[in-house]
Amino acid sequence: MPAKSKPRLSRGVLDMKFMQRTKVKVEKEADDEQSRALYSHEINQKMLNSTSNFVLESSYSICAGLIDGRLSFRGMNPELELLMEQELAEKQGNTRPEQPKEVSDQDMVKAFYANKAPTVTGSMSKKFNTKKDFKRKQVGEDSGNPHAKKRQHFKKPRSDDD
Amino acid sequence: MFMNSNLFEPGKSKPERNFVQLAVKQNQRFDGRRSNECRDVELTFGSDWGTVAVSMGDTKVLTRVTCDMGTPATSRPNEGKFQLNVNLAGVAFLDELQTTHDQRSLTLNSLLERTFRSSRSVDLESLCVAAEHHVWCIRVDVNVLNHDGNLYDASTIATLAALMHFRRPDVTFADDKLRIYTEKERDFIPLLFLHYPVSVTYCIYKSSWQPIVDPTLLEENAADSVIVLSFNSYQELCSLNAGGTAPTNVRTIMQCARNAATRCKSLVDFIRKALSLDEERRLQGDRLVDGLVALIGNTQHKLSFNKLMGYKKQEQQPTPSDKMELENESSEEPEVEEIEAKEEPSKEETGEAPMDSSGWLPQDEDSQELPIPSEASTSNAGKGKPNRSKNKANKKPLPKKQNHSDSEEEARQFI
Amino acid sequence: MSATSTVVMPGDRITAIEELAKSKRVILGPGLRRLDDTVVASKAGPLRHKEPGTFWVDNYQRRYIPARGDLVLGIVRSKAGDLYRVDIGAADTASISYLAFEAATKKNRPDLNPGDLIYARVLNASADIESELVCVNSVGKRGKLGVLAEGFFFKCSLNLGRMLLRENCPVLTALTRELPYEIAVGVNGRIWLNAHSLKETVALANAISALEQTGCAEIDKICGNLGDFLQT
Repeated sequence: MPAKSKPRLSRGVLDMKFMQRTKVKVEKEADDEQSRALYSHEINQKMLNSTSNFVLESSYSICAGLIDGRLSFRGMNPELELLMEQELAEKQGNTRPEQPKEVSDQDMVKAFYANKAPTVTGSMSKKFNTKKDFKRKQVGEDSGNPHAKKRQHFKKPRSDDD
Repeated sequence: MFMNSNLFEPGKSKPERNFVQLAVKQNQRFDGRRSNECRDVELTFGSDWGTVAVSMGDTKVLTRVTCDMGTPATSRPNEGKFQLNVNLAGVAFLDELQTTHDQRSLTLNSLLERTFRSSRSVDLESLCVAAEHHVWCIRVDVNVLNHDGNLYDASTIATLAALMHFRRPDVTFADDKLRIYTEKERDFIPLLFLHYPVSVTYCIYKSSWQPIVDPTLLEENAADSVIVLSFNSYQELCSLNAGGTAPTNVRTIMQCARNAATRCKSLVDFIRKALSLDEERRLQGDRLVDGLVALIGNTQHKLSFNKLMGYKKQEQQPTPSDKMELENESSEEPEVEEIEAKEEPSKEETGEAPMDSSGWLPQDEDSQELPIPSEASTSNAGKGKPNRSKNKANKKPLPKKQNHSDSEEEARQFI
Repeated sequence: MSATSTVVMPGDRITAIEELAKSKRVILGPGLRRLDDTVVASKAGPLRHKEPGTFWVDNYQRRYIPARGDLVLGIVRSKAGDLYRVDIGAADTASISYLAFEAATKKNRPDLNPGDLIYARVLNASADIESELVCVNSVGKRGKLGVLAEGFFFKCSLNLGRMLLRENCPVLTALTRELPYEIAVGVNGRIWLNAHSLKETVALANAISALEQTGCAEIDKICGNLGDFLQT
C-alpha cells in the first residue's frame, strides 16, 4: 500500500476554492482504493494483470455492420433522402480526393492584397507615419509595390472554375 | 414486468389502426380477401374419438372431448353434465397482462357456453344412465394453439366437430352395477344432438358501413366492434355477441345475420362431410393420425372447407345443395386428398407466405384455390331461407326476430 | 461479411476463435460467451464472421433483446412523468425522456400519445434496468429518428429485420425498382412502411413478409410478382 507513504493534502487546503478539482480527484482516488481493499481477497493478481483479447459486443447492428433502417426511395420522403445522400457522401468522402477548390490559393492571395485587405494594419501604421514616410511611400508606390497598383474590381469567374 | 406485452399483438398501434380503417374504407383486406370472404377452414381428426384440430389461416385450435361417469347435479338429476374448458395459454404472444388475458378466455368461454350449452345443442338427457346416480360427464377442452383472429369461429367449429366426432362407450346399469363396455365388446355410441350450432364473426369499423367477416388478429384488434353470431344448421340464431363502439344499425346486423346463417349451414354440412370422410378412412383402417405433432403438422392431409364444399370465392353465398354434395363426395374425394397433400406443406407453414413464393401476393387465393368441382359452385341456392319447420330442438333456439331483445341482454363488451 | 456455414449449438466450444484470440483482438457478438479462455456458444444458429475479428451467432429469434446502439421501432405505451414508456418488443418496456427529442425543452414537450410509433436508438441496455431510448443524435438533431406517422407497421422475425439491413442486401433496392416507398426497419423485428397508395403498401408488406420464408435469393421472383400485382 503506497498510500500510507504518500503525502496527503490537508483538508483545509482542499477546501480552498482553487483546489476544488484536486479535491474531486483525491476523493476519487480514495474511493478506488477503498473498493479495491473491499474486494482484495476476491480479485487476484491474475485477474488484475491478465490482458484479454476478447471484446464483448451485444449488438447485432454493430457486429454485422448493419445500416440504419430508415430509408426512403424514389422521392417518397425528400427530407430523408437528402440525409441519406449526405451520409453516403460522408462515407465516400474518406476515399475520394478532396473537392477541387473553386478559387485557387494564388487568386486568393491576389484578391487579398488587391482589396487592401490588411486595412487595419494599414490604417494603424498610417497614424504613426511622418510626412517623410508618406512621401517615401508615394515614390515607392510608383516603382516598387505591384500589389498596390491594382484597382479593386470584380473578377469574372472563369468557366472552367466549376 | 411484462406490462408491455399486449402491444406485441398486431393492431394495437395507431398506424396499424388507421391503416386498417383506411383499408376497410377502400374495401381492401390485408390478405386480399373480400369483405364477405372467409378463410379456408381445415379439419384434422385425431386417432382418438373427439380429437379435432381446426385451422383457419394461422388460427389453430385443438379440441378434445372426453367423458367420464359421474353423479348429476341435484337440480337436473336426469341430465348428463357438459363442461367446456378454454385454454389460451398456448399462445405465447398474447398479452400476458392477466386481466385482459382472462377477459379473452372468458369471452370465448361464455360464447361457447351459450352456443352449445345454453342452446342445448347436445341432448344431455340421453347421457343419463341412472337418474340421480350415474350420468355421463362430457368435457370439452378447447386448446388454442395459435391466434390469428377469429378464435370464436375456430373454437365453435372445433367444438362442434369434436362433439360430433366423439363416441362414448356403451354402458349398462343393472342390479346397482355399472358396466362400461370396451370398444371390442360393443361399438361406441356417438352423442345425440338436438341441433348443430356454429358461429360467424363480423368486425365493424367506424369508417365503413360494410362489416367484414372472419377477421384476422390485426383486423380484430383494430375493429371498433366485433359481432359474433351463432346459428345452427336450421339457420336459427343461438347466440349473439355484440360489443364495441361502432354505431351499428339493425340493418347491418340483420344483413350479417342472414349471411351468417347461410355460412353456418354450409359449415355444418362441411363438418358432416368431413366426418363421413374420416369414418370411411377409419373403416379402411389406414393412417390414423397419432400424436399432437402429426395432428397439427403439415404432413397430415387435412379436410379443407373450400375443397370439400366446392366453394368458389366469386360467389356471394355458397350453399351447395345437398344433392350436389353427395355427388362431389363420391366422385371428387380422391382428388381432393391428393391436392391437399400437395398444397398443405406450403400453405401451413406460416399462413400467408407459402414457400413457393408465388402465393404471397394478396390475390394468391384466386389462383391457388381453384375449386375442383365447378358444377357444385354453379348450383348455389342463394340466400337460403331459415327453415324453421325443421326445428328439432324445439326448445331454446328462437327464431331470429324474437331473439332480438334476448340478444341485447346477452350482448357484452369485447376486450 | 463471409457467411461461414458452421452451425453451432448452445454449449459448443468454438476453438477457432480461441486460436485467433491468441494473436489478435476478437469481438464476440451475441450468442457467444467467454469462459476464461474458452469461447462457448450460447445460442443455436450459423456462426458468422466478419473481418477482422468479429464473430456472432445468427440465431432465429422473435423476441428482441435490447443492445446499446440498436435502432428500433417502438410503440409508445404510456406517459410516466418525465418519461414515455415505449414497447420495443423486449421483455420489458423501454423508456424515453421527453427531452430526448429534437428541440424539446421542459416547456416544449413533444406531442406523443399512446399508440404512436417512434424510431429511436437504444442508448442504454442492461439486463437489470429498463433500457433507455433517444430520438436525437449526439449533436441534438433528429436525423432519421422520430415519430412515424401514417403508413403501415408489422412485425417479423429479428432475422428478417437484420437481413434487410445488411449493407449489400439486394431486397430493398430491388423493391425500389417496382415502386417508390419509405421504410423503417427496426432490428427489433418491426417494420414500418409507407407508399403512395394503400394497395402498394399492402403489396410491399406482403412482399417483405414473404421473404421470411424464401430468403434473399427469391427477391427477383417476388419483385416480378409485385410488379404484376401493381399493374392489375
